Amino acid sequence: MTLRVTEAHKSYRSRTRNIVALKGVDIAAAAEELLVVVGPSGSGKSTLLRAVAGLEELDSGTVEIAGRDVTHAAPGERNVAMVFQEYALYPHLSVFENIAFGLRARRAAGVEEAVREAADHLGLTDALERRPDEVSGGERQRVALARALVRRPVAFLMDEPLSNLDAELRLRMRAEIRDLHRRAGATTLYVTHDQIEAMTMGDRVAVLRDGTVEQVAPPGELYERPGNVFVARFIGNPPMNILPAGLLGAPDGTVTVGLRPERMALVRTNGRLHGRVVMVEGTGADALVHVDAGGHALVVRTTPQDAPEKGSEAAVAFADQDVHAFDSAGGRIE
Amino acid sequence: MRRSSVLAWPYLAGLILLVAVPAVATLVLAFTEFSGVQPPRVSGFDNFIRLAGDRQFAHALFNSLVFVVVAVPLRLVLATAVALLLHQRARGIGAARAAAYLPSVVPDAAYALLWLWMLNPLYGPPALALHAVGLPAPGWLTDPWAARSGVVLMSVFQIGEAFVIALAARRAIPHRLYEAAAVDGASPRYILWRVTLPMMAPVLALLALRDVIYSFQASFVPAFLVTGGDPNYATRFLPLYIYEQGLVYFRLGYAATMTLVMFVMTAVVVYAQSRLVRRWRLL
Repeated sequence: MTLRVTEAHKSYRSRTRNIVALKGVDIAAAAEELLVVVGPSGSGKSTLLRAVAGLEELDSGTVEIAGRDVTHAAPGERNVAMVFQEYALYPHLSVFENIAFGLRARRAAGVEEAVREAADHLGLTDALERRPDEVSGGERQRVALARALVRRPVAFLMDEPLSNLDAELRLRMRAEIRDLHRRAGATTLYVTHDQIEAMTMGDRVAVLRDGTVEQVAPPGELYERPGNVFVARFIGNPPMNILPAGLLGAPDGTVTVGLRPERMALVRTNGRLHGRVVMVEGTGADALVHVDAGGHALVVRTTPQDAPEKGSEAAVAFADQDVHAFDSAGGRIE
Repeated sequence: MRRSSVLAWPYLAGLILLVAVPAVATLVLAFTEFSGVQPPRVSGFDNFIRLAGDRQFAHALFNSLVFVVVAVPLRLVLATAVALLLHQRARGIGAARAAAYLPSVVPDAAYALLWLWMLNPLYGPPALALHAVGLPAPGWLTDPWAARSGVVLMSVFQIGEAFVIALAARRAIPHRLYEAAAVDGASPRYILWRVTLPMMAPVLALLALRDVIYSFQASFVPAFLVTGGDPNYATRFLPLYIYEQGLVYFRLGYAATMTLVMFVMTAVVVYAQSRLVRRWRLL
């Protein structure tokens, strides 16, 4: 493993309370892997990334990078490069000097060629002489990436790098970062709160909640076999419907069952769940049909053409293999 | 007229009475001979011709320039250094900041009298300390260069405003930039020269401009109260010389000419500085 965090604990003390950000986190990323850490706000994902970078000291636990224990090493000694959410570009330096900063700081040789090559990779050649405030938001993002790339570090650390971009640019940059990661071949730890970003970019995805790792798995597995109710609902949009097991006559030990809105269909006959349509939301491509099934709310995704009228009776069908079963602690039952 | 402009009237009245009228009067008086007793007599460029040959004026100008050239960089470096030292949050930092600002709130006359005592070669504390370890104390008030240094020394403690502005400039630099530099492995010295100082540069440039203007004038109180312009006219700076000519010898026309020349000189220096600053793209 190129990057390993073991039993990481971290808490902050504010004036009024103690905030525990990491509660024994274990994660590891293999060489050339893009590991996405995803979780809601306050889940500890940024703290985890900053601890790997050396910008936060762990209360306990270890950080290993390329087989070396760097738990107490200064950020500059860890051979990692970081891309910040707000880019953290030096406003007084040209794009060229921004990209060259890390190399010059280390008195590296061949700065000129390295910077031009990275700029060429990222389509920044024409912007090299401009200052950060003279280039677009997308270009600024690329400068931040080039600055990381040019150092040829063992690992890239990315802290929500796309969250300041508009939707279209974000889509394009997702693909660019993936491509860049493939070409650079460096281990990447990528933090985001956006599950779509996590699912589309990660080789594997680690889901964090309240400072604990809930599940680490490839995106497909996370979606098809979520380890618990939290992951089941966090991954997928709209979230998975969680219903009491009694409603479906599920096997013993099952407390709740999960059904993805896109794995259900509204039918005229042979419905397995019955209820009344309380709301229909159109998204253009789909219609989200909200159904009240005996006091339990559930959402079914269908096409706008098949969407029933509000207030009408609805019968919902689904296949057995699409039913996820969870125990009393919220854990998955196979 | 909008009602809000009423608020500007007191300010405008003060500006006209205290700045504009004296400025115009100075400009007019510069071309007259005026003792304050008899009405001014137009003398054309006589004052300027006399000024060109006035060796005492040249000496005072030299003194003032020496003061500006030495004191401004020193004050700026010191204000910046103290700001960089005291920008972090730490226990007791508020007291340290207050201490750095304190000499600037002491009234000039009281501050000058304090230094009159400090610089006394017999019983001033620095002299006593030097004598105690068997070293000779500099003749602050008897040697020309020591006296000039003394006036500079007095001025370098009154950096409160520059310190506060430099502190604000330092605190305005985003913390993320330092984190990015740390991850990139930059040394503290590299970060200081490559990030901190360039990011503070526009503010420091403004402070330098302002301090030049201030320093041409600020030498009056110490020269008047501490050194009396001596030894051997070494601390007779332009403001003191103008004061003497105008209000001791009542050559008000001549004093106005010198004031005009001092104003033009200050303007030239400030203009040259601002051109440099623009050239370096600091502002």
